[in-house]
Amino acid sequence: MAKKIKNKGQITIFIIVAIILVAIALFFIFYSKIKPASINPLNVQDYIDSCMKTSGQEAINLVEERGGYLNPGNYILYKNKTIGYTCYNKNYYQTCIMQTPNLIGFEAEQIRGYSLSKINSCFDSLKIDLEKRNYRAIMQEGNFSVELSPGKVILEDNRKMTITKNEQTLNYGNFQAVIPSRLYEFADIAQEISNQEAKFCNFEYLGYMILYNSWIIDKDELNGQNKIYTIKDKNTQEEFRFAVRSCALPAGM
Amino acid sequence: MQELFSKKRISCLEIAILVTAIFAFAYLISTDNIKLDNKESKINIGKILITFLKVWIERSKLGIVSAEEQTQPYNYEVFGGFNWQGQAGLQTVCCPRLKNNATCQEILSANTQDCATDVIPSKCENTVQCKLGCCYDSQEGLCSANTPKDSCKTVWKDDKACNIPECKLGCCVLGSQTSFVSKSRCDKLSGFLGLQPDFKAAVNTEIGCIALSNSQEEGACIYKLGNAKACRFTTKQECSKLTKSGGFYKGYLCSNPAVNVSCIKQAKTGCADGKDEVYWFDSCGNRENIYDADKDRSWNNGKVLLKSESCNSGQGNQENVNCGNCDYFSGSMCSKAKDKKPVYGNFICENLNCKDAPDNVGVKDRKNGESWCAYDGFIGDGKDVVGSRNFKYYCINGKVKVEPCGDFRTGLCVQSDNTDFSSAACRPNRAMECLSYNSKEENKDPDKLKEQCEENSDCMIQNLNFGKGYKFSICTPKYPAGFDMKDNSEAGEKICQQANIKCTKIMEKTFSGWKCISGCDCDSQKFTQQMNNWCTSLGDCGGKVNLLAETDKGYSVKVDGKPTTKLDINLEQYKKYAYPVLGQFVNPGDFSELFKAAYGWGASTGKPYAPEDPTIMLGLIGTVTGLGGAGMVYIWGAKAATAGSAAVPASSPFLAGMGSALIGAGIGMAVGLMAAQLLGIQGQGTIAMGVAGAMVGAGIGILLSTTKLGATVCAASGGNPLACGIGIGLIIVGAIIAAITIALGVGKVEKTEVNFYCQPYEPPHGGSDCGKCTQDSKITGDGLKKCSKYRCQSLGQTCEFINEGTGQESCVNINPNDVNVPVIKPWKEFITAGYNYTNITNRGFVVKNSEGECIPEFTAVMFGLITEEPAQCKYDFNHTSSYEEMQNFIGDSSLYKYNHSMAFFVPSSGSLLSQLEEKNISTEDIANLQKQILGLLDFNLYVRCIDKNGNSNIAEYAVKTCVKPGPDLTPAQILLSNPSSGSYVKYGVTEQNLTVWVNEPAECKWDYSPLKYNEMKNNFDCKNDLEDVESYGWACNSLIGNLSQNTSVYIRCKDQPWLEGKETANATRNINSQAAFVKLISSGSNLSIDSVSLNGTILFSGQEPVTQDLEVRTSGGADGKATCYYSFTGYNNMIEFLNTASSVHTQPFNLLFKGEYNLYIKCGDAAGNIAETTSQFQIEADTTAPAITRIYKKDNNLFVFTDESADCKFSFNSCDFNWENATAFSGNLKEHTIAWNQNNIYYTKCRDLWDNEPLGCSSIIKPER
Repeated sequence: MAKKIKNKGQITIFIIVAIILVAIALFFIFYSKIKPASINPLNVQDYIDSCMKTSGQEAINLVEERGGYLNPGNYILYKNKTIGYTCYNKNYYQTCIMQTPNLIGFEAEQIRGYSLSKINSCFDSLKIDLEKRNYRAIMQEGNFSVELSPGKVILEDNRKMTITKNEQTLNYGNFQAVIPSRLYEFADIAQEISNQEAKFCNFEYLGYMILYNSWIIDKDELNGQNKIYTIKDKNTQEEFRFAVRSCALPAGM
Repeated sequence: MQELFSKKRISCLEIAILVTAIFAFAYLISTDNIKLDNKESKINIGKILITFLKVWIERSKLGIVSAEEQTQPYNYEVFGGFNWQGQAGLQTVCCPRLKNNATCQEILSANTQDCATDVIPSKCENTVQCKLGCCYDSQEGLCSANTPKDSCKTVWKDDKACNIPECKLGCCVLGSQTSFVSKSRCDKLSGFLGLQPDFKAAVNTEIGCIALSNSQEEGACIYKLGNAKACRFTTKQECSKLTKSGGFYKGYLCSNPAVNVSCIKQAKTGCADGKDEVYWFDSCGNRENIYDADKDRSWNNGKVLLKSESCNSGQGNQENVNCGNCDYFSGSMCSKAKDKKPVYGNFICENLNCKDAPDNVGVKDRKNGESWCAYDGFIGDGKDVVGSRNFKYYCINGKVKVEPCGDFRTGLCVQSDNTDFSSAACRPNRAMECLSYNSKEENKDPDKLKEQCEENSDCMIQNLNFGKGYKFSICTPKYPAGFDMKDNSEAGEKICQQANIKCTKIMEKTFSGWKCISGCDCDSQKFTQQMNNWCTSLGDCGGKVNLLAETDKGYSVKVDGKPTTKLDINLEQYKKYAYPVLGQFVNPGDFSELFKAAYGWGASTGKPYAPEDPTIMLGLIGTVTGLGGAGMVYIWGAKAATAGSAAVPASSPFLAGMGSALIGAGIGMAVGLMAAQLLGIQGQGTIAMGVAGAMVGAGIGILLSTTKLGATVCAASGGNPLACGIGIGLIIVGAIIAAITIALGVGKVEKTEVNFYCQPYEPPHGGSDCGKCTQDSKITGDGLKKCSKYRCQSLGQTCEFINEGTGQESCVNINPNDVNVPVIKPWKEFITAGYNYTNITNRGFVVKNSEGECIPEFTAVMFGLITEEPAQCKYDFNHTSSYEEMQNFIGDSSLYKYNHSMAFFVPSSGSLLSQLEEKNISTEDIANLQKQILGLLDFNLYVRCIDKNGNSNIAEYAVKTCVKPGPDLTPAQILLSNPSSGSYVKYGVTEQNLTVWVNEPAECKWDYSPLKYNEMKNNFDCKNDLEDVESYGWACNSLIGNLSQNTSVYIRCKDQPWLEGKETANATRNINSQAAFVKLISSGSNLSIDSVSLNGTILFSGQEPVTQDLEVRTSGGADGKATCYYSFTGYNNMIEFLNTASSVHTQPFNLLFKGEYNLYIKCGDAAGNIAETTSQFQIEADTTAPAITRIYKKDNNLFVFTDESADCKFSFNSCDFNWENATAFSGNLKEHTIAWNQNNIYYTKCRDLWDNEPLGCSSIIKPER
């Protein structure tokens, strides 16, 4: 009998412990979502940098899977993703016309467009949060730029921010996020592929992979008219995908 | 004397026979292709009607798309431009930006709503904003080809291939790596790495550049890290970035005690960035030499050991535990060890080759980078199976991957036949070009057709021979393209119809019995087999199999209008083609074709085809029997021409009187032939009758020539008794021969008309096999061959490819539970204006005009049926018990569709009866046939339809109508002419054949002014038999002579030729009150090519390839406009200029390489004037650096001479100097000077106008010590 009671007690303890653990887990999950991380004036720089990094990474991910576009108007649906065309000719038999001649600059602009609004929101949130905590936050206009470089994407915002409380003033500026990415190299290769397609209706991707063996390039064809190229960095597995329609042949006679 | 007289008579008789025989045989040969009447006793009204319906249904396909169009009032000019009326309104315009943001796209003027901006009524190439060029981004140093001017935000250059100096590629050295880029790109990349740009323009190949990366000298770079001394194994270039003091120990490892840093040798092994091999690394993390289990050998006393001197050089060393000398090109690369453990460390040369890689049949070991072709079945010879696709397999990094070539066999996989290392590529299938060769004017010569056809490795010549009169060659695809029978089924059907053919076997009764005189194999299986071979080679047509070796007949044969299976071939023979054949692949042909395959096809095939309708591309519109018909027309024409030359009478001075005898013989023979025609005697009987007639005529002629008053005088005595006797004898003999011929029935002809109908292949009913597209290993090839739209469609009528492009594609049966029969209804929106569907029930309807009357004679009425699901429909004139028993497809179409249309067109009862009367049919037979005709005036079509699951209606659906007999009050209408009015005639031509098509049988005349019919002096030769009807009506031909600058031809026709001499008050022949008019314009001069821009020129360039435009100017000819073609190989397979159809013709060339070029140019205009020329030009590409030819010092000046104009610069330190910062010699021609300082060494480099410079120095000039 005593043994039975002891067993019941143990079960009860286990249940209580489990409930507490679940409650703690739920607290961390939901609390963090409900209430944004409190901004300490001391970590303003980190907060903005992090914000830039997050939005920049999101933009990079989108651009990489959409052919360099954020929201491609002219796209093809591939694996449930909208893939933009870097080179396109709607007619049959004709070589494609370059749609994104300066792909590196174009991608930088796309990322900038996406990140800027997000970063503005971050600054706005920051300001509201600080003001709630009786800080006075002054932000000056500045420039936001995105630069693509080999192996990285650099987001920079040079707006100045001044935070004041109790006559203590803190100045912030030159926010920057460096995101490791092969987007620059991807754009370079995609540009080369588009050029070859525009000139010869073809890109000899197998030869390219043999010469430059750190890249994996896959080509898929839809309807015999649209080519989907996927460039993958063999080391990081990062991918860039884009579409080309060049010298399309009508599907069947 | 009597005997002599007798011999003379015999001689005269023999001479007469000889002479008349010349005419008779000549005529026989020349009329070998004359129209022969039907078997007189086997007239089949239903057959005539079917012929009409078939032809008029065909006509409906050719352009009559609505009832309204069909009932347009007669307007000759409208029909004059029939062929291209539909095209005229549709122009290509340039849209700078489509609504989906695609820039600079050419669209049809009918689709301007797709454009987000105003369209420009021009080709994009001719607009300022959309002209294509090269966009050069000076900041990144990148070039974009084919870029619209307005899209380029940086520097735009007018060379869409980017063959401009800014984009010229060279080798950029980036530390231990290299990159094959433009100079400005090199600057940019070097900037990223903090390196001085090192651009080697002299290295102008990518392979050469990569090789350079492996030859960079490396060594130990000693630098300061804080206060400590550190070492990095790197290149001198990178070392200079780390240290200014220049502590670079070339060829030393950091673990070498001589460099005096505390890096311990061979601490671990690993892979190095950008390197294939496994390396030793020292304790400081510096790369050492290639891993070798023999450590001492690898360490090499602390010095760099070259790859070529390392262990097992030149081998892949896959999975070698002792040696890490991997080689990517040999199929190995450094990787973490998995199966085997190396003697030291955890890295090994991974095997990147593919063992037991799937081959076309079975498996085969493949090397890394190797590619090969895989097919679904047999390929070539027009036997590719339905649903099959070409695949390129390749081995990369140890895995076999696949690139599917164009679906629907628009792409072919070609393979080089190197057994050690095969290389494959997908390239476009040029099948569509093969058929176009048949319709080219110059290919009427079979040898030329063969030559051109065989030049295209995707085409083949098929020789068809069904007996005399049916022997011809045709160019067909070797690898027929597949049809999209879901979305573009009608185009496929039209292509199949090119192999519809009517073959007529003609048997003639001779004195020794019946003898075949033409088309002897038409009614044999040999005919069906050959026709099916032709049919299957056109595409997915005819009796063949699909991926699963499921057969479909895909053709039908009718003998005398009735379907038959007696001539069917065994389709089992095709099942073997569903299985691939070991070692079979599409040969790329010569090197140029492999080049095309590897680097695309646009450059070599020139201007693309008009894309919208493939049948236009093939030149197929406007034919009914298709190319077969065209081929045979040509063959017949050639025979007639030969016969014509044989028919020229030899002049014979033999007897003075024979001149008149010849004329008489000619008259007699003509009379005999007319009699034969009237009596329905043909062929050998015609000869007999011709000879008999000739004898009679000769006799009469002799009589006429030897007497002054002929036969009457002969009897009276004024004539020559001998001649008179011969004449009488000839008449008697002739009469006897004629009598015997008629009595024996010699010359009677029996025709057997065999029609072959080539139809699209039909996949099996239902969709039970759809899933096999993704599951059956025969189709999927162990998962490598993905399902596609075409493959899916081929497996079943209800198979549909879904989720395309989503990664979750599958082939599903879209209607698995359908057991309902197709419901048939009248197509209410589709009926000729003025007619209605009446008495509509579930069982059928009646077609009558709005007054409730029957259809008038010679009136085409179109109507249609709708099925509630896609269905294939057939009709029959008689009741049948099942769909399979029924005879004819509605609209002659075997496609499954919702809307089914066809036309009634019934000739007049008068025309039918007249045809019967001409056939020498007994009175009793005519009476019976009259009853049939009267019965025909009210007739039914019985219809059944079958759906894709094989469900068909059991009860027939009846379409009833009737023909309204009555007087024909409407004159014949001329529907079309060839050439059309306003056409130009070739320069110097004084005669032109003119063909007009009339909507009913008629006799037509023409003249140079609009005279009345009876006053017109020239007759057309009109084909007036009911079965002679062609696509556009009944053809009438005439030769228009005396052509002037502008020749007007007026034409009038008189209908109902059968009423000639039988007109009554109720039956009169109608004559056009208004003459039709055809204007022919003679070319004012011959077409000439005035200039060729490149002719005799030498073009200089500093890079390859070279961009150069060709411009040709033409003048004269018809209207000054011409279309020009060019070729680099000859006058076969020429390519149309990109911009032509005017007097200035331009063609840009983007891929010209150094060499001499022969250019063949041919221009032609609308009148058929042709001008040809050849042109030679030369490309001189200077891609070599200038050489120094002489150096000397004079008056404290150093003189340097180069072999070409150049700039020279020097450095006192090394050859590896920065050009921009270096000191220049004065003089930029061949002589260069600088002040001499004998204490210095002049590392001199010269660069020419094209920026060619040596890899190192042009010269190192040292003072003599």
